[in-house]
Amino acid sequence: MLYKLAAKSFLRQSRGYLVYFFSLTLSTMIYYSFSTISYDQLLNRRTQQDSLFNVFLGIGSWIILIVLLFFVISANRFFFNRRQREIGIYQLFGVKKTQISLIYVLETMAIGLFACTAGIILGIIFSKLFSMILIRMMNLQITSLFFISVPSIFETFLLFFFDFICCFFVFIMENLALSDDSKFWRIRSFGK
Amino acid sequence: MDKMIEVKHVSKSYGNKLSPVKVLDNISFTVEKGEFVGIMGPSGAGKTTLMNILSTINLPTMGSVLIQGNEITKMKNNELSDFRRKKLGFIFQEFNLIDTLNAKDNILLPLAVERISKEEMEKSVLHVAQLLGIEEILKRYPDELSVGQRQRIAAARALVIQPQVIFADEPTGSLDSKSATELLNYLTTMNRVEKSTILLVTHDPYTASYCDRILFIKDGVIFSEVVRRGSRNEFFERVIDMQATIGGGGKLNAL
Repeated sequence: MLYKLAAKSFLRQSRGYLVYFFSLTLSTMIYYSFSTISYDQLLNRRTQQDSLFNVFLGIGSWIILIVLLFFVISANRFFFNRRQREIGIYQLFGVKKTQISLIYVLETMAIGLFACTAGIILGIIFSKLFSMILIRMMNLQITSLFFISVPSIFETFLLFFFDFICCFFVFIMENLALSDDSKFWRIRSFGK
Repeated sequence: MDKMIEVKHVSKSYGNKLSPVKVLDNISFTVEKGEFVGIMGPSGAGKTTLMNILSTINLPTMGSVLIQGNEITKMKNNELSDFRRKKLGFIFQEFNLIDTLNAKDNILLPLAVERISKEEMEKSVLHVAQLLGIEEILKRYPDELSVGQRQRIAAARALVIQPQVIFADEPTGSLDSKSATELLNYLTTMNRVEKSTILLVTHDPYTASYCDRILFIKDGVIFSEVVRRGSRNEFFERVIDMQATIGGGGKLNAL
């Protein structure tokens, strides 16, 4: 019942998460497209002499990974702060910290997985467009083929799990460093 | 009569060791089961701090608090969660409703953690809703309700678990006089019918006149105590006189 209430409350405020959701979807899409291009055999064969090409693709993926990591951490901190009042009320009415944490982790993962899946689907649709742009810019005489790259899908999911686990890890460390009545877990009290 | 709350030599200071600010200084008193007790005093006297300590939200620096013989000052966090959920009800000046849940779900919240059947939950919610006259607005969200209605929802949430003790800090503070009177009547009903013990902090002598007994706090100690014997009007007069003595209101200011 508690989880049902939490879900209702979350759905009611889901509009506030819309921008976050779209940013995540967009960045997943870009990451997937980068990844797909690096698995594109036709393009790879053509650019094998050009080792810089692969280096740049690699750097691009890493930049996305790191930017996304910071984005996920700070966005989640923002959401958490915004919902402090709600969390304080839950605690006051006897919901345990472990239960609140579980609700919070489930919510975060739900958005993450949903955005990741949407991003991959968009990425599959648009990856051909990206490789076409790339081929045009590089003045190569090849046609890009539409294909779905399974290792890229895996890689993208892996990136997501890595980012979210880092995010939770940072939160746990912060919680351990702060005392029990820190602002993270401030229970709703009289006069505040 | 049974003792409901026992407060033994409770002190509370804030700040660091070099410059401590003593808010409560060696306070002791008891509240019997089924009593309706008010706490009054000028601002900064430590009323809210006392309430936070009694309701397990904060810990005292020294001393102990017993509710129904359970020493709440020695409980662990998880025990406290269970204790709060099963035995205590809270009513705030600013309601503290969850805006993203409708009135009914707000009232359900303290029950949701419990493993009880859906029918039983519905029954409890309906029971308090009838008591407070809010059956018609259960489907609405807090921002679609008037201030008085919101406070009644908050009261229903506090009452739905049939708490042993209800803590109310300025519950009438943000209500107009009509809604305030209604809420106080509901609280009195709760006190009489359901035999809940009620602790209420207030500035307002009118609100206080609904209590059986009022503790006056000043500078962290209990200054005096006024017990209701006769009618409410006579009690009201005595409360105002005591406020005048204590220097926080009084007849001249009230006029």
